[in-house]
Amino acid sequence: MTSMLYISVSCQASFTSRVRGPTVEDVRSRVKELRTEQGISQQALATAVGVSRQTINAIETGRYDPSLTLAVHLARHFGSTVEEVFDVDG
Amino acid sequence: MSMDDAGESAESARRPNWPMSPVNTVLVAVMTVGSLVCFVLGQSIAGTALLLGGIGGGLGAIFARRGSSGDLERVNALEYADERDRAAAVKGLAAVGAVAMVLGAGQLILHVIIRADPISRWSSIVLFLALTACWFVANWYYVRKG
Repeated sequence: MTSMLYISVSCQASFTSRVRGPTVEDVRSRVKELRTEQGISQQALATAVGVSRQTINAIETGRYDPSLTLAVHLARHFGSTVEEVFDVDG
Repeated sequence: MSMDDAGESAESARRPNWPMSPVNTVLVAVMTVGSLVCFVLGQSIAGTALLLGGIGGGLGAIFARRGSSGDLERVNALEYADERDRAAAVKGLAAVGAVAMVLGAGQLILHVIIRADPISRWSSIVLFLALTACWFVANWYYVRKG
């Protein structure tokens, strides 16, 4: 049973490494730039889009990729498109 | 309506007036009822432990719901405020599951080697099989769900 578990985990890890998509490092966010242009705080932006201040900070510093829903909410808040707010290398 | 007003409205709509999440409500209720049962059965030490656990969990949940609470406090207290908290909790619980499977396998092997009593051996086998089955079912469900 243990060997079966090991083989399964190994296969999953191998598969994951082959099909891995863009990572956090590949996504550049303009959230900080757009927020500064609007002259609002991280807390104000966070409450406007319904997340915590820490999440806005994590997005701005590249530690967190927002979901599609949150990305759309952020883009709508700034009056732009998702692609204008988030840039993915490629 | 200012932006902050709009934010507060969204926040209050997202978080009902009840001071803790449904999961914490169930956990606190189970611990409180469990402690009462223990006291009725004369198991005062277990009852006290469960009561303290319930009080601690409840206070932790209420504390984590404050507007100024940190993300780590919220995730530890099962009081998720947004998608990032939930994503962190999912990864944390996944790590717990992986460690539980490894430790469960280790316990099973150890019990076989030291020829532990049948109850211990069977409980190890059942635990390990249950964790493995849970893993396969969860994989099947979430792969199918997409």
